[in-house]
Amino acid sequence: MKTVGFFPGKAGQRLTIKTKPNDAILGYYILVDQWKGAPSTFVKWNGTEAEGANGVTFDLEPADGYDVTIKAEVKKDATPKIAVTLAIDGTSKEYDIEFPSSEGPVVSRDWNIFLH
Amino acid sequence: MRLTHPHISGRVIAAFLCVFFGGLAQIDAQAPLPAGTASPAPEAVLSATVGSIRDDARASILTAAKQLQAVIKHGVVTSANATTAPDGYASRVHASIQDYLNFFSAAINQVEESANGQSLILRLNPVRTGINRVGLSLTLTKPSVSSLVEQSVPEDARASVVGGLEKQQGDLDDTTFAVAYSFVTPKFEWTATSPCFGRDPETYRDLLSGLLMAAPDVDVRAEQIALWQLKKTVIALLPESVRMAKVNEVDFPLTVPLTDFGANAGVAFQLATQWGQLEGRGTLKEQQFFTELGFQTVEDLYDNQPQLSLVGSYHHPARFGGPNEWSANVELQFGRYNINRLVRESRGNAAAAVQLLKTYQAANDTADKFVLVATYKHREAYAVATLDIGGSPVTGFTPIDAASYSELSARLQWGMKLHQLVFASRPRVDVTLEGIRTLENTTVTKNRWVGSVTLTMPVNDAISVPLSLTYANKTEYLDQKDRRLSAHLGFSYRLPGL
Repeated sequence: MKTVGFFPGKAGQRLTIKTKPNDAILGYYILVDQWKGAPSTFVKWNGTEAEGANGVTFDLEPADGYDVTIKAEVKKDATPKIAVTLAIDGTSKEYDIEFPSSEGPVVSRDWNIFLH
Repeated sequence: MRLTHPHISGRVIAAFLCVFFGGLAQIDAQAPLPAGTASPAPEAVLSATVGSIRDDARASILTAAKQLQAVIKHGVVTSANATTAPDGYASRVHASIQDYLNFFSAAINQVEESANGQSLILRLNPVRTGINRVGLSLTLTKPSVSSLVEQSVPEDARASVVGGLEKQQGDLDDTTFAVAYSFVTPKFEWTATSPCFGRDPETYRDLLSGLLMAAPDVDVRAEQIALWQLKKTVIALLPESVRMAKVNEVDFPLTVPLTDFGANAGVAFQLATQWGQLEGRGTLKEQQFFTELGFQTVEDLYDNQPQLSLVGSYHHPARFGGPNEWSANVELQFGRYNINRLVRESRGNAAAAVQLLKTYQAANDTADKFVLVATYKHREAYAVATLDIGGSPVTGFTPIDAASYSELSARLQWGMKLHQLVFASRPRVDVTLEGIRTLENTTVTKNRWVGSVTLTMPVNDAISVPLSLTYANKTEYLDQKDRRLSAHLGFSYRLPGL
């Protein structure tokens, strides 16, 4: 459980997530929580769905914000990584995120999107 | 005990934050110290900082701190090492054939120079049809003079003759062709009705992602809610200009120098410490939760998937590089508890499979494995009657007439836990068979085969009694020289804490 980035955003904008895992990632999923005072599950994707050319996408609805979490099963004694591209309305940011096997067997990393 | 920023240097705080959050590469080592700030020893500060944090987060922080020390130490050691200019063989050949490679770029998967710069490896795109996968590669190695040739030259002339022979060999004269074949199922799904082969992570990722999605949610809601408020508060403490400039950076705001928080630096540090505690607590919760669910066994199940691979290679050295060699290798591995079994026993239901993980973990049978490896090597006969350097024969050269040589080696291992209980624990049986057979021309020069069966009976967690029966085709391979079959009764005690 660790936050690796922040995004400011506005309702109505579109968020796209694309991923490319390395061989030390056995499986993973992407969870989006929506914040309206408290978090609630907004959408959940099997990680492989985000590996396509278009990734996965959703529109930001009016809310306090969103948490985008990637939860991954990792190999021991390896360096599990996922290259992640997050884009809001065309402005994208690339991350090369490590999922340390010392935190395994399942490691999570998240991004916060604050709406204003 | 709470720490406030006047006692701690900005650099140390940045280091602590980076250590805890894993952003080792992001340390701002040049961060200026706040005016009038004392500079205590970093170890003392880190120790005091760790001391102020809850027990459940302390282990994580100390581990991360050790990693940082290792990184720093490694960096120092690395920077002190003298470097030797690498031999330019691989890069020279790579550059010379680059134009030709472009014609075949559609077929070439990868062109790779070896770490020592002595070889250039061309890998062609693997050919896949159904579950069959074939990979081809060509390796060009810097030609050398074989020790067979070297030793046949009188010692006083050896260095100059070897140098002369090396000049007669071309860059492309030492080649190795390799072909690898394996069964690899392209994609395995929960609805699959037949078993899956191979250990390509992409084959299983969709299925194992589904397994993770079917697991119950870990309850870190309290940490999540507290963190959300904390993060917003910390970010709001930054001046607007800094916030806007750095908000999209990786690991923002943890890598922002504390001095950028201005008068809010002390508060920011305290909040960041709480932030670290919350994330550390959440991480430990998740780790414990998924370990109890049995997710530790997922990698074992993956490693136990049946895998069959065949590799063949042909090495053609340069004229004075020794005899041609070819080899074939077959390897079969599988474990009784694997993903095929998980899918079959859960009837393709991911939620049921999550329940089975716990059962597999409790049974502790995932180490049961079958391994068969067999290799055949053949070296052709090699003859050199005379040596010429610049048209002049090398005087004193002893003609070479080496016989052909072939070698077959094999190893079989199998082990499993038995279901019968002995002293309330399950005994284990292990079977091994290992051997080698060599031929020079048509004469058998070695023929050694040894097999053993070991029954290990646990007495308690620390003590076990292994009973071994060993058979060899020749008595000299056993301890008791007058018999082909020997038995050993042992006693094994595992020292506490090891």
